[in-house]
Amino acid sequence: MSVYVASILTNMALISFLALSAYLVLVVGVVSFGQQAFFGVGAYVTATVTSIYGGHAVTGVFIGMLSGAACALVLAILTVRLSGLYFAISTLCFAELCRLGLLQVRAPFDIDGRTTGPDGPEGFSNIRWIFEHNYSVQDFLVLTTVCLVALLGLLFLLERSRIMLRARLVGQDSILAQSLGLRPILYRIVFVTLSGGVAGFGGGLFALFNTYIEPNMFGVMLGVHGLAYAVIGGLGAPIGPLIGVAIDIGLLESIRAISAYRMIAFGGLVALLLILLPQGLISPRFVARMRRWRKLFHV
Amino acid sequence: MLSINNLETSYGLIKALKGVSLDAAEGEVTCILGPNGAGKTTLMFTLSGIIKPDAGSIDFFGTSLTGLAAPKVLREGLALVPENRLVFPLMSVRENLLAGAYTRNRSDKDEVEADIEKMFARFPVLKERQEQNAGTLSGGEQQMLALARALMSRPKMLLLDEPSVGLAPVIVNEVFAIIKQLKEDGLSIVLVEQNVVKALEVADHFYLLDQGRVTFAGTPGEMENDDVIKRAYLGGG
Ligand SMILES: Nc1ncnc2c1ncn2[C@@H]1O[C@H](COP(=O)(O)OP(=O)(O)OP(=O)(O)O)[C@@H](O)[C@H]1O
Ligand SMILES: [Mg+2]
Repeated sequence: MSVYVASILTNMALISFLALSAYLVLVVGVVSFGQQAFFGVGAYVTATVTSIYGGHAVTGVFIGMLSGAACALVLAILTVRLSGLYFAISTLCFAELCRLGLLQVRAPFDIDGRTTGPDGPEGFSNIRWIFEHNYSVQDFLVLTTVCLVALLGLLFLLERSRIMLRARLVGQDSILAQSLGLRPILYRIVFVTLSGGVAGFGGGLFALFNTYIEPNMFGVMLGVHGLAYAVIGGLGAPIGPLIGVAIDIGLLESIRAISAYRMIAFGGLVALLLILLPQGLISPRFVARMRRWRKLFHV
Repeated sequence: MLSINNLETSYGLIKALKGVSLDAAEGEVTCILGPNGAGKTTLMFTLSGIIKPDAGSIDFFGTSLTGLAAPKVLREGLALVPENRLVFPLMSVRENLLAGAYTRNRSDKDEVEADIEKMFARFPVLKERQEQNAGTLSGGEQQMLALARALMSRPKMLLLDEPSVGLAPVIVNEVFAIIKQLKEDGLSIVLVEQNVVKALEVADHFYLLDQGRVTFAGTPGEMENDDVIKRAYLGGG
């Protein structure tokens, strides 16, 4: 496999983490335009742990994940009383604050004659863990894929649990859910926090893979893409957001002829899909129907 | 029994309940009438813990429910069938029923199953459709499902917010037949209703709510003889 193909596939896997994190928020019935912040926080923390403190990549990504989750928890608690639109706006503001904050952090370090550490708009360079440990692009693709599959496995288990079923009830109709004795606030806090962890994890891998990160990589457009993947993929199952990613990056990027018009093509595609399938490709309705059929035919 | 004292609830600056006091006796149907925007739904939401009151008290069989969150209120035995949002449309009829038993213990699994069978006996149409998505049921069937789901929590008292709204007359009759049956089984019911003629068939006590205040309280007989109510609700003069 060529380095080019491997790196496109790795990027698809990495952004899948962001799309899945957007999915987890959508499940409880709210929209976040700020998942890129958790992705960025995960990236910066992982970079700091591995490049400045010499930590192992596993430690780095793990702490990155926890930091993403912690930020998300703070945001979830601050916005707990906000409904739909106001929640969405707050997530966007929060993410922009994080990005602007990172632009102000200047703490360059000199390690083995190379400059590393956060340096405001100049970014965080020389995140060399994968070089130092002789990981090729293909190796890293395998690593990322394994992590993604593991995450999907966990989400699959979650999907069959009572907590996910109830989260979906809260997402469908929070007042009706409340009248049945559920606490929508609790589910929102838990799922937003989980989403922060997932995004932080992906961000950590992204930092290791890219070896250079800067605050402006984690702008609104990144978040909007992650959200769009989850929306067109649908909220029926975690595989939905991955299909969203595959459609955008896989399809549009591989047809090089239109790569210059990719944003236009993608925007048009999102609009078209939402008109034809407002619930996304793998919608809850679709999943419910599949389940009914399976029961009917005793598969 | 349920005893509400000087209950006040607001949405931001708008006061929707301005000191509501009323009682609902055990084993009776207490009917709350009132024009659109009177605060009936707000009262139901406040009673079931979905909105918190600013002042006043709610007493239920000797326990104070004032300010309790929705799950606790439900555990105390007060269950709400909300207006206009009846079912989870993408879930099957059976799953909707199970959702009504969330506050019960996990160890009650067999009992919950037995209760579902009881619901199927009472609402045969739900049994036929148990695997169907609830969203595909007719309006009347959805109302039956919502009633059955509320009963799954084994409440002592049921709050029904306009159960007949938007239903054809034949179906309204069915809904009221069910309410009558539930009353005969000894369940206490608070019924919010605009259809006074139907309400008169089941209610033991009436309250009229207007602009967040109780403006009339009395028995069906007293109500039929009240000039204001006669003119506004019974079409007489
Ligand atoms: N979420 C809300 N935010 C602000 N005001 C509200 C809200 N919900 C209701 N209100 C207001 O509170 C008042 C009472 O509303 P409520 O829904 O309790 O009336 P209702 O008696 O149930 O009416 P209906 O017969 O139409 O169902 C109304 O003036 C309404 O505009
Ligand atoms: Mg109402």
